[in-house]
Order: sequence, then C-alpha cells, then structure tokens
Amino acid sequence: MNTVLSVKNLCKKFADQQVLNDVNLDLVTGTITAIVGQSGAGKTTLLRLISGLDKADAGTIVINGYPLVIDGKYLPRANRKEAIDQLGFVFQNFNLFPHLGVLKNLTLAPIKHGKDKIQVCEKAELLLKEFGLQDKKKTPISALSGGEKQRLAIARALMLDPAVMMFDEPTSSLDPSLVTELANQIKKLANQGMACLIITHDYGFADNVADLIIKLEEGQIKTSE
Amino acid sequence: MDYWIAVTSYLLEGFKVTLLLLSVTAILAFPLGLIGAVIHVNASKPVKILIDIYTSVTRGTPLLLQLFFVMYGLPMMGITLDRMAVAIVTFALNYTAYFIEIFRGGLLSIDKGQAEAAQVLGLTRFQSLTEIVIPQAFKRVLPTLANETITLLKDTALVSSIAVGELLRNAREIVSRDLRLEAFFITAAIYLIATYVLIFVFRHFEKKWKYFQ
Repeated sequence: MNTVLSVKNLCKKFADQQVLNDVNLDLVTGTITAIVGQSGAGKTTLLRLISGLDKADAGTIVINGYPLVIDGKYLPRANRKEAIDQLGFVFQNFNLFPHLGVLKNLTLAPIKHGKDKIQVCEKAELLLKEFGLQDKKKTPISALSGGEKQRLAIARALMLDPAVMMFDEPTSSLDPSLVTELANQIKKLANQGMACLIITHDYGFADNVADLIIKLEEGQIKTSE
Repeated sequence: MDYWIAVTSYLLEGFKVTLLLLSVTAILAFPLGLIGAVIHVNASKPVKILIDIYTSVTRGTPLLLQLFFVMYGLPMMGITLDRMAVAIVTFALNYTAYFIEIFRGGLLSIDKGQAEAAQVLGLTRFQSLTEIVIPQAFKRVLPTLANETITLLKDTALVSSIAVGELLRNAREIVSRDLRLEAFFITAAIYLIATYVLIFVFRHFEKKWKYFQ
C-alpha cells in the first residue's frame, strides 16, 4: 500500500484564531479515513487546505507524489495543478453546475483538460449507469433528488481518475435510508484502490464506513482509532 | 392615405438611425460592461475605486449633458467627431457604466461554491468564469438587462438634440412643417412595436434558460 496523501505539520490561522495546529495525516491506497469532530474543530478547513481552496500558513502537503505546498511555500499555480488533479472533492452541498445538464456536468472538466471527447462521453455514460443515473441525462440538476445529486457529484469527481476522494459532510443532506447506500459506494471506491477521506460529525457513519477514525479537536488531532 | 404612407416612410428612415444607435451601443456596452464587472469583482482596491468613479460620474450626470460635453466640449480640446460618432461614443460610455453595475450584481450573486467546484475540477480561472460563473450570472440579470435595453431604445431620442436625424427628430420636423399630429402617433407606434420586439427577444431567452434556478 502506498501513501497517496501526506500532510505534515499543517497550520492555519484565521485572524487571531488558530484553526489548525500542527496537523499530520497520511492516507494510503484502498483505505477509508474519517475525520470526526464538532463544528469549528477545523475539519472543513483541513479539507479546503488539502484541495488548495485555502492556503496554509505552514506545513507540507504532497498528493500522490505531487507537492502542493512545502514548508508553507506554495508551488506556482501551474505546478499546483498536478497535485490538485489527483483529488476528487464531493462538496457538502455538491456544488453541481445548475446551468449544465447531467452529462455536461460530468464531461466539462475532462474535455477542458484536453481529453478525447468520445472517450470522455463513453466514460460518463458508464459512470451514469454505475450510479443509476442513466435515465437522468436530460433532467435539470434542480429536478434531481438529494441522493441523485450526491451520486452525480461523486461521478463528476471520478471522471478525472483521482487517487484521493474527499467527502465533506456527505451524510448531512441525505435521508437515513440513503446513508447505507453512500457507505457502500465509498467502500467500493476504496476497494478499487482509492484513498477516501471523509469529514463528518456523524460518528455512527464514520464507525460504519471507515478503516481509521481520527478525532480533531480545536485544530489538533487528539486520537486515532 | 398617401400622406400616412409618406410620413411613415420618412419616419422609418429616422428609425434606421435609431436602430443603428441602439444596436451599436448594445454591441459595445454589453461586452464592455461585462469585462468591467469581471475586473471590478477580481481587481485590487485602486482599480475598483477607478471603476467606481467612472460608474458614479457616468450614472450621476444626465446623458444629455454628456452628449453636449462630447459634442461641444471635445472640439474645444481639439477632438472633433461627426454627430453620429458623438452619439455612439456617448451612449456606449454611458450604458457601459450601467451594464457594469448590472453584471457586477449578477456575478456577486453566484454562490462562491460554483467557482470552488470549478477550481477543484482543475478548470482555469478563465474557464471557471466563462463556463460556470458568467452563464449563471447572465441568466440572473436578464430581466434587468431587458429593462435597461428598453430604456436605451427610448434614450436614443436624446440625440435629436445634437441634430442627428433619428426617429423623433424626423417626427418633430414633419409636425412643425405640416401642423398635423399623425407623425407623433406613428412614432409612438414604432417605439411601442420596437419595445415589444425587445421584450419578446428577452422573454425568449428567459424561457430558454428557465430550466435552472
């Protein structure tokens, strides 16, 4: 098993508040890691730093061998792209593109990355089938259910063949009946060799799905189990 | 009947000028307004302040005064333009200011999660703007753009004050010459029809993009 995400001595301060303080984390292929903690513990900030949406004050992040930040110094924007391309991110509210159709939500990014259009469309069709959305190709995003939106958001991230999949509070807008389905989907991704990182305050879900649970308290990792 | 036909034909000659001014202003001010708004939203504070000064001065003074300034003020500084060029430059600069504010509101109304999703999908800033943010913002501001374009259509009548032979100027000429009011009624009908055509076009796009919120 290889380490695909390495976070070392990560620190982040907002105004006077130290949100993350010397956080260390390693993710290996084929495993599911859940980070739990109360609101304000720094969970979402950690995810945003790893994905490059916010900048760390100090520390190192390396994703699948590609550095994003080394000792608090960020690589030039063009070089950071290689690291970011290794990540799939499923947002808490999915952030699907409402003006695009279901299929275009999947194909836009890979086509813009210069991949072959026909191959991209074939892959999108396969993923839609796998996630039970093949009949929704022409459905407006606003007409999809919460579960369908989440499956589409996962499929969109998978279109770019990420080494690490990150989920921000994935159960927060799901009916309890859909939580088991989501857990199975995440386990399937891990079985395919992906490293999955889940941020949640739902301890039950974390317990059910994760190989490793990390507790974040006041910006510091307190326990691992 | 012959009188009505002759009057209408002369008024339509003026309406061609009205249409030319409307379309050239829209073609210039729409993209300039959008570019100005994008720069304002992303720029540093000094650039924002410069754009704010431009939009405040332009929106805070009468369009007629701006027309007179370009028509009679610029020649005093050695810059002379023909009357139609004066009209186009003034209208484009004036409406760009309004469109900057309209587009800026639209861009700011888009949830920042949309740009963040584009970023984690590896899209460039430019791609994020052109593929994700601007199309959504454009749909949101469409009703306001429609209103502003209708105002623009009616504002074109102001150029009669610098002797550009557009629709209203031609109507006034006929009424003064013949001392009959028909030309005003026909002019009103032409403005109304043109307004409804604009409403129809904008409604068509609103309907087309109704599928997303």
